[in-house]
This record gives sequence, C-alpha cells and structure tokens, in this order.
Amino acid sequence: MKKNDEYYTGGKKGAGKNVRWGMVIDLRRCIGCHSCSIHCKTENEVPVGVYRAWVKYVDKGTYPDVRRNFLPRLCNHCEHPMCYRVCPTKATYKRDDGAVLIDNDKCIGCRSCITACPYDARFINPVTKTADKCTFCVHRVDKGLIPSCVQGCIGRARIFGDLNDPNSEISRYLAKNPAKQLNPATGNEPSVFYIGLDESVEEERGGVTSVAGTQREARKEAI
Amino acid sequence: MNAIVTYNVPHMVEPWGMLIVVHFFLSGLAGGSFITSAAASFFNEERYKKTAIVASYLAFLAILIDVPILIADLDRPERFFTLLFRGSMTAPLTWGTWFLIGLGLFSVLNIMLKMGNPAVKGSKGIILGLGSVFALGVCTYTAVALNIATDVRPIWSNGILIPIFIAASGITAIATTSLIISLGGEGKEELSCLGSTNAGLLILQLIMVISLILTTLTGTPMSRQAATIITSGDMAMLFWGGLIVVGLLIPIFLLWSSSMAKKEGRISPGIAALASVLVLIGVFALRYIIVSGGQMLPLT
Ligand code: SF4
Ligand code: SF4
Repeated sequence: MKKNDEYYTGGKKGAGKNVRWGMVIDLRRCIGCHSCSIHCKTENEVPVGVYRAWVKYVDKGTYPDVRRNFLPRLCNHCEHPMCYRVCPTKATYKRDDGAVLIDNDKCIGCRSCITACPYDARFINPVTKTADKCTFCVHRVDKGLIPSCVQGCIGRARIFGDLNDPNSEISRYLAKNPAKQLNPATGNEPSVFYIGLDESVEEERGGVTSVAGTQREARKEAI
Repeated sequence: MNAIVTYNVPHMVEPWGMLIVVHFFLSGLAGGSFITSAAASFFNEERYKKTAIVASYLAFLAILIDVPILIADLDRPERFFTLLFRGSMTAPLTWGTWFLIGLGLFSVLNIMLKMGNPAVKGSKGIILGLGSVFALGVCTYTAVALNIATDVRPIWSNGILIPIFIAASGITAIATTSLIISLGGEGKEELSCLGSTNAGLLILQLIMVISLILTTLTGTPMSRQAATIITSGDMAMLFWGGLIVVGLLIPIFLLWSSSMAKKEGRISPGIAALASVLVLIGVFALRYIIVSGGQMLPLT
C-alpha cells in the first residue's frame, strides 16, 4: 500500500490522541446507488432488516419540474454524543480519535441510546440483541484502510480522514466547499459533513411510502 | 415546495413500548404511595391511619412488580445486574436503578414502622423523610429519561413533563389508596380528604397537560407535527376521550360535586371508587400517550 493510495488513510493509527476521524459526503456526486449500504452490510455482517448505512430518497417538486434527492446516512460519530451520555452501563464509549462505539459484551439492550440519538442511527441487532450502529469501520481504519462504504462509493462522494490534520484530503475539501452537519441544533456536533445539503430533504420525515411508516402501520395492526 | 420521502430505512420506530408504559405507571404508583403514606403519618397519624397503612403496602407491592417489568424490557435481561456497578452517572437509568432500590428498602422500613416494630420506632422522621426523597426520585427520573432526548422529540423534551409526571404519580397513588379504602366501605372522612386532594391535583394536571399541548402546538413545524399526532392524529381518541374526559373532567366533577353537595363534605365510597377507577384509566392513558405518542414522529 502506497502513501498516496486512495484507499489508505495515511498510516494514522486509530485511537491516537491527535487524530479526529470524520467524513464528508458530497451530495453533488451521490447517485443513490446504495453501494455504500451493500458494502457496509457485507463488511460488517449486518443482519437482514437493519442497516448501519442507508440512503434516504426525497422527491421534490411538481411534474415536470421534479427532482429526486439522495441523503446517505450513517452514525455521525458526534463530538458530544447524547447516546453516550444516557448509556447506563458505559457500553457506548468514545475513542480518543472520535469514533463512538458499542461494547457488545456490556450492552444490556435498554434502548436508552436509541431514544436519545437524534439521528436515528441506532437499532437493536436482532442477532446479538444489543444496540448496534456504524463503527466508522475502525477495524479497517486501525489497519490503515478507509471505511468500507467509502471504498465502495462509485461516485466517490465520500471522503474519510483526519479532521485535525489541515493537510488531509478531508480538511482541504472542507476548506474549499461549504459543508453542513445534519440538524446542528441538537448540539451533538456530528463529525459527518454534507456538501450540497438541502435542508428540506433532511427535515422531511417519514412519508407515506417510507418503510418507517409501513412499519408503524404493521405495529398498529399487531396491537 | 412539494417534498415526499420515497425511500427510507426501517429503524426502531418506537424503541420504548408497552412495558416501559407499565413501568412508568408502576413507578408513579410506588413513589406516590410512599409520599402519600409519609404525608398521612406526618400530618395526623391517628386520623389518617388507613391511608398511611394502605399506601405503605402499595408502595412496596408496586416496586415488587415494577422492577421485574423493567428488567424484562431489556433486550439482554440477564445482564441487568451490571447496572449496579457499571453505573454511568450521566444516565437517567442509573439514577432510576438506585432510586428504585432505595425506595424498595425504605418502603419495607415504612411497613415495619406501621406494624409498630420497635427496631425502627425511633427513626420515624429519617425513614419517612429520606424515603420520600427516593420516592420523589422514582417519580421524576422517568420524566428526565424522556426529557434528555433532544428536541427532535418535541413532546419528550418539554420541561413541563417533570411536574406532569410528579402530579401523575400523586394522582395514581391517591386514587389507588382511596379505591382500596372505599372497597372496605368505611373511612368516609379519609376518603373525602383523599378525594379533595386528588380533585386539586387533577385540576393542576389538566392545566399542565393543556400547557404541554399548547407549547408544542405553537412551536416549530416539527413540534406542531408532533402535537397534532396527539390532538388530531393517531392518539386523538385516547387523548380527548381517555385522558381529558374520562381521566380528568369526569373525576374532577365527581369529586368536586360530591364534596360540595354534602354539608359535612363526605364522599360516598361508591363515588370515591368510581372516580378512582376513572382516574387510573386516565393516568395510564397519559403515560401511553406521552411514551408512545412522543415517539410517533419519525426521526428521519
Ligand atoms: S449519530 Fe447518534 S448514535 Fe451516532 S454518535 Fe451521534 S448521537 Fe450517537
Ligand atoms: S442499549 Fe446498550 S448501548 Fe444503548 S444505552 Fe442501553 S446499555 Fe447502553
């Protein structure tokens, strides 16, 4: 692996004090192909029915002036994560490099973190019966590889790197392009940034054909 | 502009379900009963003897059922005991665990006190005072656990939830106590005292629930959306019928009019029992509306 290999993080070991991992998603390049979801699923053996990385579709406008917007989603690895504060067993923890992780052996499945995360990044893994979410692929990052979704993104919409290093690709990209975090008002301070984010796409919730809506209907029927 | 979500991913739509609703209800009953028992012993042990005794047993029984329900709600219930030594101090569930344990212990001591056990006789003040602190903790932590969710769940993040939950605990405890006393057919004086206290609490609760709905209805578009789920959406029937009419207005009318009608202010056991049952239905509806209705707005 060469230093300038695009799949290489630059040899920075994880959990180092001076590193702060972050991600930029350039929505101008995203084509909504779900490659990231698939790469994440295979890399992390995410069970059927749950997703650590997914892509939300929001259609805007009235015919013939219509546009489909894509919003790739994952855990934001927040600087001040609410999920961490409410976890009673310290199963949710934050590494020095900014990655927010869950210790499967400690989690009791109380779902406090799921109710507290404002970004709906978490779920209960049906196999382990513990809380689950994106890990920023720290098992790869610690070996110098970029996260699986970044490697699999065919539009090269995702850039991963060290936010603390002004010369990293991500820092240079952020310096050149105006970027936004999802719902900054929550105060959690996400480490995932979006370029070209249309707030109305982010704010639009649920929707008649959304799977979340269907799930709610199913739940109501079950009751 | 017209915007519609055409694809999104299923995450847990309602991470906290019916067992948590029951847990909140029973926690309110336990905490409220201890405080009711302590207040009765504190003000006039002789006059409110029945109340003090019934409520002291209620507190203990409620904890006895409540804790297994909380454990059963965990997805890894076999690990529940780690809550005792891993405790993160920023987590409401950690405080809740300790409040529940403390209240359990103090409610046993309170029962011993009521049975006249000589071992605890000298420490009545400490038992009732300290126990009430734990009891208040149990009534409050449930609201804080919801409150801590950021403003993406506007019903939960509203600060008035804390006094609403405290009042709900008192209302549950007083209603259950008077239901039990009225089944015995005696104790009219105690019943009318419990009845008028509860009428006051119910009026206060009505004002606070209306404030909760008004503050969320007049907030951001997201907050409005969350409030309309309760006022005119999925929760509307339960809110207007179950909580406002059955749980608040009718009992307020029953308790108020019967204490006004009879000169000496005595409530008949039948009316007291009916009002209590209605109040309990109302409190359960309130807990369900807040826990379940508060999560209905999808996060993404
Ligand atoms: S996005 Fe949610 S789960 Fe991820 S760190 Fe932030 S609060 Fe925690
Ligand atoms: S579900 Fe697990 S990770 Fe989440 S708050 Fe509870 S113990 Fe912590």
